[in-house]
Amino acid sequence: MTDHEKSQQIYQLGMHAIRGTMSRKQLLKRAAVLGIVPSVVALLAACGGDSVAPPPAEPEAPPADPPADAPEPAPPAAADIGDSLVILETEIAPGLDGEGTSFGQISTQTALAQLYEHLVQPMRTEDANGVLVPEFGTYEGRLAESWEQNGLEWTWKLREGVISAAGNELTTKDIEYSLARIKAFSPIPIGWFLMTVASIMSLDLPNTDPSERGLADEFEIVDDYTFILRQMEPSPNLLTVLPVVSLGIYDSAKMLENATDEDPFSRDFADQVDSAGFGAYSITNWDKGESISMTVNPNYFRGEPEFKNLTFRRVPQAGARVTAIQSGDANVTTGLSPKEFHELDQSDAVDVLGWLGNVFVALGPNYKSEPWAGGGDPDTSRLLRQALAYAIPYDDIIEQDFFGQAIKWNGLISSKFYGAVDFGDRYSYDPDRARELLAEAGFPEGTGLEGPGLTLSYIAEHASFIEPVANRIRTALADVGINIELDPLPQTQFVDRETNLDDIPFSLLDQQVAIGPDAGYQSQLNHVTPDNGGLDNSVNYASAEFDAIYLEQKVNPDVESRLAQMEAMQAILIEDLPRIPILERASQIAVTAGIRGWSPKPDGSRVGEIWTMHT
Amino acid sequence: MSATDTQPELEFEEVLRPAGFGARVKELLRTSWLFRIGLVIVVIAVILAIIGPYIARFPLETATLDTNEGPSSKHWFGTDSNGFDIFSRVLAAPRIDVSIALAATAISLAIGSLLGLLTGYFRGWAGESVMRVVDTIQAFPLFVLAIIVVVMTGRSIQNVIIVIALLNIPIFLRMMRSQVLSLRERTFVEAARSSGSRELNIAFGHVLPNGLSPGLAQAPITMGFAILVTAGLSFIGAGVQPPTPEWGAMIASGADTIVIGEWWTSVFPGIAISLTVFGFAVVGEGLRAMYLRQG
Amino acid sequence: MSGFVLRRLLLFLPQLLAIAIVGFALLRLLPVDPVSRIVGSFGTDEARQSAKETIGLDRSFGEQLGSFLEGLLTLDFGESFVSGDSVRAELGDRIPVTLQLIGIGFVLALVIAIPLGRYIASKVGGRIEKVTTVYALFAGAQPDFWWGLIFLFVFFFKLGWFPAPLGQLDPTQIAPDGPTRFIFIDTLVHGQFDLFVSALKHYALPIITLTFVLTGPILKIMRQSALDVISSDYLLYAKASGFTPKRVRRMTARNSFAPVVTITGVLLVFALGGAVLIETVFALPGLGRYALSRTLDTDFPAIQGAIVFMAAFGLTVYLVMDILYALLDPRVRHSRD
Repeated sequence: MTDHEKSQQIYQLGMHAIRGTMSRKQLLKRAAVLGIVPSVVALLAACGGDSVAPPPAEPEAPPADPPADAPEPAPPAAADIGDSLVILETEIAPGLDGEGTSFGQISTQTALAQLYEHLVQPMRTEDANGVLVPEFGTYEGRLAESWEQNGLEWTWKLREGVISAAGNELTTKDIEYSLARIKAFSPIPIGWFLMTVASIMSLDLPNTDPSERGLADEFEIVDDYTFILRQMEPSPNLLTVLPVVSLGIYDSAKMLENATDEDPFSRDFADQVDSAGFGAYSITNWDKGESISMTVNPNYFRGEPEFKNLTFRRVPQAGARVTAIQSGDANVTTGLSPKEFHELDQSDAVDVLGWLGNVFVALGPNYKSEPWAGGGDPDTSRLLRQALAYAIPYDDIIEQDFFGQAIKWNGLISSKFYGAVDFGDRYSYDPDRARELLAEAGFPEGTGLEGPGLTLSYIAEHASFIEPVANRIRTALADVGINIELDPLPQTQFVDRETNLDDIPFSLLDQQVAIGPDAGYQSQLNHVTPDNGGLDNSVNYASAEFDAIYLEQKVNPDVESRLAQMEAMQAILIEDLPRIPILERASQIAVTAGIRGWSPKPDGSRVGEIWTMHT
Repeated sequence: MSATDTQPELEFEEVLRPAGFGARVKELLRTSWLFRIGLVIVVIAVILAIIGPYIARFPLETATLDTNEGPSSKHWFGTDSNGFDIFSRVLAAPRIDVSIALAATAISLAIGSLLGLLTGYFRGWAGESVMRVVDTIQAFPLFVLAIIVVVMTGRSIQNVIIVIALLNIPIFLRMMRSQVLSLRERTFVEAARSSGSRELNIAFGHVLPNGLSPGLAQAPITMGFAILVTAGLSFIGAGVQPPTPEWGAMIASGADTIVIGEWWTSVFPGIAISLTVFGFAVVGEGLRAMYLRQG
Repeated sequence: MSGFVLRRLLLFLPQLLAIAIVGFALLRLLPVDPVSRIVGSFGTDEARQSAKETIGLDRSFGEQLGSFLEGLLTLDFGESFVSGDSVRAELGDRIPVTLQLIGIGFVLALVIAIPLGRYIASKVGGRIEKVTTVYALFAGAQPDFWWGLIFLFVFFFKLGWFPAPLGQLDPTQIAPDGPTRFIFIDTLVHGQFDLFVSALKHYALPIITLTFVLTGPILKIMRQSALDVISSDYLLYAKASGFTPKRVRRMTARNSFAPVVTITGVLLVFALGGAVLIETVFALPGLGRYALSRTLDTDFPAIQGAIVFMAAFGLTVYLVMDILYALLDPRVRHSRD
């Protein structure tokens, strides 16, 4: 799906919401498949818990001390970049309202990350390579100085003296305004969705009636710097949703100046004219679709960044971005193929930073397409899938096609997420075992296998690096008797069919962002049936047993037994193999040599927060 | 790519006007070094179309670990990012490219000539309307038509053949029609008519065989054009599916890396197309010049 | 003469209409399913129905055709299934790119081929003539997209004379917004000479590629027709009748241009569609790329819009060609009238 297409669909979703033509569940699902949830839940993922041991390092400095993030490591190269950065993106944000129609666009999320501030952020520590690695499950206050949970009641203390780019001081009025704006109807009800996940707001439709726009019990002002948030039921997700880009806090004074009777929440202004945030940068020039320029917010509470002027430009062709960063015309870019990153890494002028996060490559054999449906017999289907899993030359793919910038994926939940189980060598490259399983399934040497599922689809635009993977898989499968053909699909079509339509018979998923704050959420996203709340089950997997445990763990307040349940869920997944996990690859970004302090985010905006970058 | 369907040539003007076809071709071979080169290329291409896949030194569609290697004594033309041996695939590709061209040209020659015969012989409103339709089709950018039809009917070899055949029908139709228009008044036709032959018999028995020569001379040029269209379609992903060894698709697979210096993936299949189409064009021009001399 | 032109003009609209209708019908006859593209092959019947309604495919063929033709009157091709934008606006962005590419390419090819063709026609048998003739035959039978890559490799990667294939401008440059969408015009209108120069650099290699390939067939025809005229009876007659050399030259020129007009027209129409290959190599966001990507996405309104424009372009070229032909070669007028 193109960004634009996505915006259109999100807009339609908003229309459904306002007309009430979709049930809440449908709305949620649509919102989810449009990438709202993927990015949201991806962020949620970043706080999964303590299963990941981050490299020992000091947490980010306490919020009160301004230039805190990442002070030490000396730049390896003395790059003379000056104080301006040119960042190349595939698209430029057409709109900047975190709840506007362009929210789904990576470029919008990237811009918002510079313009708005949040109550809290996951903590990060800079590793030796200059990457600020997120420490899942730990938080630092940003606009919030502290918070305290007492049952369902959370008391927040705001930092004093925080000044917006427009010069207004942050008070609880701004929080009230921002929450009320979320609760009022928005083109895409993303904030409302998130606050629902956090159990702050109810699952009711957002307010469409202007007279009901006010906040109710969920929010209470104590004084200028203290407020209370109330949950409806206990949920661990409040802290995890607060850093999501669309929950940035607005400068209410500036927003209200630009409000009109028809547009009391200044949606046009925030989406199309200017930003009104407490973030590190503000907009100086915005040529929609082509470029955005930003300059530093002199009042920013964490102090001045090294790079004072940012220019985001649209350069859709990967090759062009490579050339521009090599020549020094640009300083930061992302969205390149493993080979392009590999080539750039050889160049003295460019550094490639990597973070093994949550991007995966997997095969998706569809349960509605033969032969993977197994003629309707789950056992046959399972045997076929396991045969696939034993037939894939994992190491060859990682070494040859990903230049070692990936690890074998030993599970169906991103390995860094809370509750993820590593099944080790449950499946490894073992063609003999694959042949046995194939015979056991009733297709000795592959005889009798037929159906649309024998055509493997992948994204045509990614052919330069994913087609070799597809060919390696095709060759390896032919070796055990499964003869498949290849059918590259245009990206728009592939993504749409994969996320929305669930009708690709056999897909090679690449650059999928694993989504889910923990094993439970990622399961909901990818493996639970739609009837039980599944959101993006692109292979139409349906396991009653799996769904039953999922539903239990979802409302289980006990940490230990919930972990056990999530483990049980994954034990089912690893045998059923709704998807065949292949590898987890590094998120990468190319920067002018010497730039450090990349703060990768698990959402769509790979560029992250530029305030933390330095030489 | 450009349509090379044009006018007579004079490179071969030395060619005289001997009697039989064989003798005339011999004469052409003797006098024109260009025609000799062209014919050698065409013959090699046709032979490769038959045996190419069998003489490959490496499996054609088996991914290996030897990826992105430059030309060497093992891989004469290097390997691509799949680890395919480019030399083997360049030799095997005529199986697709030349066969498509041959089949498509044969179909369009047959249908075009038949339609040309009918519209030329039986003038009147029906023939006129066919000509208007042909006019209209020819005014449309054909490559785009090919893209639309091939993509929408499914990217397969048969569909590529059908589309290219359709695109070329108007050329042969016009050639045959103009032949018929002049032949039907000629003496041998008059003679047949006065001896009581039926019109249809005259059309097929006398006019068709005599009017076919320009179409046949045009055929190699059309084949060259068909190879270009096939490769072009595959280059933009609207032709045959990967990993079929096909020149255009092979060029496409190296298009991303040639700007960073890995030239071999695209260069060798391109040379193959370049030479092959040139060979067909030369042979076609030669035959056409020969036909024109013959008058 | 005027009767001939009038008749050709009268034919223009029915032909355009015919292509538009055939294109429209073809899309609905081919085994593609834009609805599946919207709701998926496993979509429910209700979902399919509502998608059909949204994109207007629930109506009868006649009704759809009716509103399509009605839109044609105002050049309104509807909204794209894929982007939701006005197809006319999208075409307005894409068409100038392709027209600039092939327009400049053809002008250069003609400027080179016509004098060169006449020159070598007067030097038959010479070394230059032989080399040029082989080139003419060779270039007309070449995959332009491959030559584009070769030129990129040599002139960008090896020599660095031209910029990377980044589209119309450097990544750091922003195209002016209107008024014509022709970058070479808009940059001048806005006085942005640096952008004009940059666009020139970015268009240089694609245009060189196109010119390299196009010059071949035009040169071939030019040489041939110049030779024909030189050896023709009427020129002999004119010379014998004591026409001044200047007048003889004018006659030669006029008569030898007619076939060049034909070949240029034929190539021009083909190039409009064939440009997709060069656009792909050089990442130019032209009409061909648009038609291709929307075809892959079964975006009916967009494809219909592209078809109508291309047909109108092709028919106009053929119309102009016929008129020019008639002007250049008086014999045609009579035979065709």
